[in-house]
Amino acid sequence: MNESLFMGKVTAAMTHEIKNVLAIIRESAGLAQDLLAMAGDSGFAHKEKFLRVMDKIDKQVERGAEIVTRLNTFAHVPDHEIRREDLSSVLDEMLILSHKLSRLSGVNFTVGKGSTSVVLEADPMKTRMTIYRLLEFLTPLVGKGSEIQLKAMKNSHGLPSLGLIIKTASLENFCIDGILADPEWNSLEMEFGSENAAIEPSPERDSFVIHFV
Amino acid sequence: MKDWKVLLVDDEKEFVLTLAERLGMRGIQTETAFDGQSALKKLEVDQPHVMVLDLMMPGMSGLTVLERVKKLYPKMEVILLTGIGSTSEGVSGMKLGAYDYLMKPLQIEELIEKIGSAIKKGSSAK
Repeated sequence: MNESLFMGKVTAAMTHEIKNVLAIIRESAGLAQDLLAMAGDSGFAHKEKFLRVMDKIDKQVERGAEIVTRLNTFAHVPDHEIRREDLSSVLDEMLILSHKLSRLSGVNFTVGKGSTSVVLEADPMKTRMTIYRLLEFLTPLVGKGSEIQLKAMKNSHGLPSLGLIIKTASLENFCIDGILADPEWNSLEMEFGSENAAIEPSPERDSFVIHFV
Repeated sequence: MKDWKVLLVDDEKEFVLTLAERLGMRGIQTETAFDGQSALKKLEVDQPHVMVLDLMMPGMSGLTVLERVKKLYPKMEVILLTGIGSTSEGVSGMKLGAYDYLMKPLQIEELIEKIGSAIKKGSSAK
């Protein structure tokens, strides 16, 4: 068993444990609400506040469950060397998994919805690595308040590709040529370009396209 | 709901006991078991209308318990509880005769709705 498989196996098992913890939190909060409802309006001064807190707990349980579900899917990524998958679903998954990166950098990541389904047959781990590393590289360059939109599409040859549309907070300060000149961009191209995907700026020079090969 | 009898089977004791209490508050009679073996033993004494069964348990797996239940008590409806990444197990369970499956963490209203429709299905089949 290789390291990625081992890491994935252990992580997947832990996600089941976390789901059980979330289930207990939800039931316990639910029980507290039930008890309050049974007591009726008999003099609990902080009823409204209590219900708001319970509602907050429930929403956070939902949020935690969504993150853990995505983490579980991610943990199973090394199970396949090559996998056919819907690229939009991969992007939805990456959006959740890169939420922390988005929050720390102040750059908003979104997924643009395409009209057709784009199916990608590739190494699923490398696909995710490409997307994550690219976001990691771009966030400090596009700056706080900007948006990077990920969109599954097909290129002119009908092959799956990924568009990264950058909407900067300050257009004047954004220079795509500056990105291309960045040494890390060159290393990213070296890292992914030859093996898994070719990354290039769009002709309009306001976005990037990753062509999966 | 008064006449509904449900057996909850899960090795997560805190979860099962809290859920049982909440269902009880809604007038649903509940029994609990924390593993597959004891669930099967409880069935020898009394059969509930519905069994709510976790798939991932130590010892006898949820799917094995389901297979045995369906063999011994074919009319009993079973609702499976799955964690994550195990939707395929939920589907496998339905192929083995489970009524439906739900993902943890549960919404109690959804569970009650499923229990109700499972009981309705059971009584219309009689």
